[in-house]
Amino acid sequence: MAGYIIRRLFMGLVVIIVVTVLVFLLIRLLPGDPLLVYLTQQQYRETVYDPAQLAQLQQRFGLDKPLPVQYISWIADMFHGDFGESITFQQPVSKLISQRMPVTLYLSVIGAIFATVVGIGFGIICALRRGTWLDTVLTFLANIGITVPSFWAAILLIYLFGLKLHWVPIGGYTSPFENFWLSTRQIVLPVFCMALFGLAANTRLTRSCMLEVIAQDYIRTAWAKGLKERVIVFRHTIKNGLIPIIANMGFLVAGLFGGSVIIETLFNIPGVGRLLTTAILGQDFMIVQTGTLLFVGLITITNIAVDISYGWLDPRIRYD
Amino acid sequence: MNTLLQVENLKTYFRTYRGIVKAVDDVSFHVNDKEIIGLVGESGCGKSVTMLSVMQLITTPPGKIVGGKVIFEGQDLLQYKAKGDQMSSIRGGKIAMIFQEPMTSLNPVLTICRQLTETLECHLNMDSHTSRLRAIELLKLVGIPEAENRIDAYPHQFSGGMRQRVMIAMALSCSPKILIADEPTTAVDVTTQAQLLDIMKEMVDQHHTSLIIVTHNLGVVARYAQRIYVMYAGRIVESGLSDDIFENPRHPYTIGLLKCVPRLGETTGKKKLVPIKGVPPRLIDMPEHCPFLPRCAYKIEKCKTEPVSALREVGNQHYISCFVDTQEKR
Amino acid sequence: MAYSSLPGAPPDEATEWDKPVKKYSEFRRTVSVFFGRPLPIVGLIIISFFIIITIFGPWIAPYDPLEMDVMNSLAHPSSAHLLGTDEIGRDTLSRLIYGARTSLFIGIVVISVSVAIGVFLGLVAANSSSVPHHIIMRITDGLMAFPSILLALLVAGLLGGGLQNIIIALTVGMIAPVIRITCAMALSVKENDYVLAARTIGTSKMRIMLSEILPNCFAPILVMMTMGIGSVILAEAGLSFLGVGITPPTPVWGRMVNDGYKFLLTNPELSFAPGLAVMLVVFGFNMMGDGLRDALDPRLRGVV
Repeated sequence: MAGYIIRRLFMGLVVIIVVTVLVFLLIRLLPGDPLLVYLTQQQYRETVYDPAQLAQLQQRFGLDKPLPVQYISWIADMFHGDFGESITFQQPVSKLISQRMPVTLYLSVIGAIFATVVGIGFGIICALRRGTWLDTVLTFLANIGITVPSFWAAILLIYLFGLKLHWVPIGGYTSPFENFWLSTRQIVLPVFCMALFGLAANTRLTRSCMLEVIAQDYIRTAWAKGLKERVIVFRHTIKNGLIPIIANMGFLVAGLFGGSVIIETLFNIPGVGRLLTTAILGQDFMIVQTGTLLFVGLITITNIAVDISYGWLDPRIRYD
Repeated sequence: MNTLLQVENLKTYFRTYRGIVKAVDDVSFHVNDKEIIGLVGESGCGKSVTMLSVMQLITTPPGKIVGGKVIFEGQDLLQYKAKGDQMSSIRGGKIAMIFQEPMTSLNPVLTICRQLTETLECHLNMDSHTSRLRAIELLKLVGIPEAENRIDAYPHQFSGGMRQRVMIAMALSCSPKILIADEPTTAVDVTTQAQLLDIMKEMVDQHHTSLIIVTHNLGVVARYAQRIYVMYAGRIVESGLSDDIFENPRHPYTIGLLKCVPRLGETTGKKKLVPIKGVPPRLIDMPEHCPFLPRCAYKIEKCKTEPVSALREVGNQHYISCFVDTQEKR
Repeated sequence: MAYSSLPGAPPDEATEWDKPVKKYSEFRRTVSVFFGRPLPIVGLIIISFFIIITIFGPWIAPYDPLEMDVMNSLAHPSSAHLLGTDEIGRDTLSRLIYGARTSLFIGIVVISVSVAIGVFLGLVAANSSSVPHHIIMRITDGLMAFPSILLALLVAGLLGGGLQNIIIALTVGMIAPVIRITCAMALSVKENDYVLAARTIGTSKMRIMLSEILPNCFAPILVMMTMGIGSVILAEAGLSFLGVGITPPTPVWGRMVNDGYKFLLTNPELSFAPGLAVMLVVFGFNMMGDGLRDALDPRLRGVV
């Protein structure tokens, strides 16, 4: 088991390195010169710029050195906690992100729990009551859930619950520590919209995995032994059925972070997603670099954790 | 000699998009106590489905038990709900079943100990400590070496033969009255086959359990069974005492079957094995007449016009489902 | 009498068992499973409708989508304008219809390109030795660690707007899952004995890839493509909602939702209609993909 964990960690590390290279390359190699943008903005949108100033800026941001060197120094800087400075905000990136990270994390964690628990629950109900109206309805809703664009669902819900019924405020965010009730009312819609896709996908996945497990020989053996239905479901079926769902966790987290990009913008929530969107559209590379790396890093860590917990769930893998 | 289990006119049909498959079509048999009976027939003749119907383990869509009675200890088991508590207490506790595929019949994520003790806790209300000890004992009885250490292993760490032994141990753990063995030896090699059968016979003798062996291997039933039922296309075509069936088969199918089986020590007579010409019928939209008709060498005019014959007696406990008296032709 | 002298001899006349059986064809089975359940049929209807609108758009649309009629701006749905107008008087219905053409075009192009590249790379990865396989797979793993919206957003945001760049961005976002799934499929097909047999008689690797492995991957690839179009359209809507993508004034569904958001209280249909259109189209493709998958090979459930 230990060997398995170590191998997974190693593979994860490789992936993280690949990811940093990808992020780095993506930003450096794409056309568009951020400094030009910065300069022309500084000089009130003139298209003429002072080459000396450009060179100075280049030196300041380290952009005049060859690529591999830039990469190494970037990584080294990160280990020292220096994530660069935002061109648009004129503040250290680390400060900008650390202000916003808790918000996004808060929403994502709640979203993840919601999507997982409710999704698995619905999926189990569908599988056990297969063919009944409950199964049909839930499956249909799940199919809708994976097709609805999250921003559209958000707008619909804002219209209904915000504008018409006035049950929730339209947007904005307060920390739960300041005003718990207001905070909760504010995050209900955003969390639901972020988690909707994951919830629906989990329901479908759980349903089909459970159905597959139920058809296995060892479940027939369990019935033949005279065990009660409840025991068979909870001890024999679920443990086997959960394996693919845990494997999906990485995608769920990716979906939540991806969703945060749109939802935070729409609901005016000061999280990393909105920051990242603004930064990408404004070509503020420092923020883009670090923000992307943050998201992707968290997703990769989730995947590693998932792979390791696989071994606990499925003993056949342990001795691989 | 008491009758433990009496199955009368059992019918199990399956709906497929190509038609209704009459997998079990009016099957009747009985099992007495302390008896070993064999249910033989080729693949697809409905023997497994018969036994699954007795245990109410048929997946309801697409299959359904449409008629008949399964009388055990005075009760018709088919009156119980398939997933209900009454049927669950019979399964494993009074009637146990082991299956053909040991490789997939055990839950891969639970230890052998857990899979053994849960039956004991369920039917015999043992606590976890006693059940664990009993489980170790059972493993020793079926011949698993180092039972105390291996009991906490997972199924994938056992070979096929050992898994089948574990299945036998699980089935017999609550001392059921009847053990149904559905093709228990088909998936294992010949040496293990012999060992498994011996273990089953021994357990049966010790616990006074009746055994139903379902197989297409005539050799197995010849050695162990006292009475035999021969099935073809969802019906019982011949039944009788084991010796009778082998020495004096009366139904054309059984006759044909025994002609295909090589026998040791047969030095006189024909040396060639004569297969039964033709193929087994599709079980969809079966006609009313005898299912063996296209392949039968003894058929008469009546066979084509009348519905299939009911079982009629041709000797001591010897019944066949045939109009023809095949004795004349031998 | 109709029995012959030797027991065991073959029957001497045909009975009804010998009548020829209606030929069971795999195609017939596939078709009947696909049309057996209601949802795939609904999906097929929706998609056909969508395709018809796309092809005959210019003839169906009541107005020119770019035509402005400021006198009639923000009109509510009426007989003149079935879905109302936007803030500069353009007819919403016509814009929806033209938007369909954009969405479908992008969907098809992106899927075709990403499947072509992705399947190729996936097959190469499955068929090569350790080093190239690992390189491709690790890069794929790295790409898959990105939420696909984020990846597309990055590429699109940094490349700039415009149709071509959007297509590139969405393709980049779609490639990694295609490679992963294709490689897994190819690897499991490789385990089969017929591939081993081909290798034993000395068939070259390229030939094995093309004639043994690829045909067996058709079903999952087809399903992947159908469901992929849905994902691409959804992603494109998200991107254009954020303001990235096709430049105005070309009507694009995602951007229409965003534009309509400002007028949510007075003219909700400006946002609702395009969003509903996206949802219906994606739903249609997904249901069709589900049906295809169940018809072609139900074992693919959970994989594709």
